[in-house]
Amino acid sequence: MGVEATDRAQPPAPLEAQWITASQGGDRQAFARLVEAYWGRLYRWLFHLTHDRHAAEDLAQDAFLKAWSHLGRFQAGTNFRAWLFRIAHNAFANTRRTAAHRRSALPDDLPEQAPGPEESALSRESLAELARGVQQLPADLRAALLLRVEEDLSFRQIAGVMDVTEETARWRVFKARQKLMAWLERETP
Amino acid sequence: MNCEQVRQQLLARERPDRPGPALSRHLRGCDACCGWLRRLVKLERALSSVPVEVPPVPAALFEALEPAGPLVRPCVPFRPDRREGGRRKVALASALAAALLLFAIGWWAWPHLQGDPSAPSLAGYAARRDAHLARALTVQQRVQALGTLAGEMLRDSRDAAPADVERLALHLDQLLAVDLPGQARGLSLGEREAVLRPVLARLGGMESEATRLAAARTGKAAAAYARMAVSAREADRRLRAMLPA
Repeated sequence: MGVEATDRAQPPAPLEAQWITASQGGDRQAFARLVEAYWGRLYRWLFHLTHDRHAAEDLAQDAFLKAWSHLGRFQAGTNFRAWLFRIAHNAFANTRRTAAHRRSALPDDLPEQAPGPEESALSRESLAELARGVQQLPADLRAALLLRVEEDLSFRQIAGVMDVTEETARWRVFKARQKLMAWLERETP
Repeated sequence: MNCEQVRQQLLARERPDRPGPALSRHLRGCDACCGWLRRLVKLERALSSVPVEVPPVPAALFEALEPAGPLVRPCVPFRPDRREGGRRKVALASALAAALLLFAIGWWAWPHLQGDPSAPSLAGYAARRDAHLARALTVQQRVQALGTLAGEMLRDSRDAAPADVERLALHLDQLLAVDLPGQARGLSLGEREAVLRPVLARLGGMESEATRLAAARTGKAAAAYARMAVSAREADRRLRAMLPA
């Protein structure tokens, strides 16, 4: 277990397209490659939504299983990542309706990670504060903001993932940023 | 533009770090907004730096991958054009029957070719569906019959073993994603409200029930029920899109 930069590496588009086509033909090995390519970033997003490692893992598994069984509906040439995240978001939305999430507090010690250029500009304490600020956001705002910032999805793509209008997607990112900025200004001296 | 308006606009942009000419003009002359934007951009970049321990992909996920079925074309109700001659009708009906026969053979053979008898498959689904449809004489009755079948499948799953729940989830998805909408498209616009509303009510109940069952079960059964809830919800959306505006 650990934080790896490869968690968020995007496979090259032609390679991904090959894997998708092969998967649609029933090639489990090809789909396994897609799982390996997207597991980290999908888990990460779901962890931020659920604040629960087990729930995030279950939802990520469920999303990939659904993607596998519905691959026939995926249109080649469209955004597989957005399609996958949409499946995951639907699963997350379903669980929200049935059970209150058991929120696990963020660990006092964040995982060790070799500092990159951004981290060197921010202390571990600042990152912990930021993580707590994100945690304070309502789930829908948090989901939209992270899709924008971490997955670099457009408002239109975010709307597709969350099954809302583009305007609503834009509004959610707007409110998330606004609340986060206000929260950080209150919390940090 | 005043500072408040500029900041509102920056918050609403996909890329606040690319403010555009109008906003840039304000930023060039306003240290306060410039500093605020720098904090916003730094904040967003830092979000990606919040470390999250990512577990490895569970082995169970790879084990659970079931054989993907062949791409399925929607079941469009056959509506012969009255202007066509009799011979063309017979030829078309023969071609359709041959295609259905080949499809049924392929449907039966596919799980066996995959060589994993324990994986859920659509075997048995077509026969069950056709048994319900055989009693229906009109398009309305066929839509109602498929709605009834969907409810029966969910009921059957309640006391079923996890492997059977998975199988039923697959069958239900086929029913709700392909067969039911396919039949519903055959309804005239005037018929749709009366025929589809009860089906939509049933789908809503199914989604709630499947969601409840997903929370009550664990492992594969829970995942299968979650799939059923999604299938019901997506079918609801598809059928609502067919209702007259």
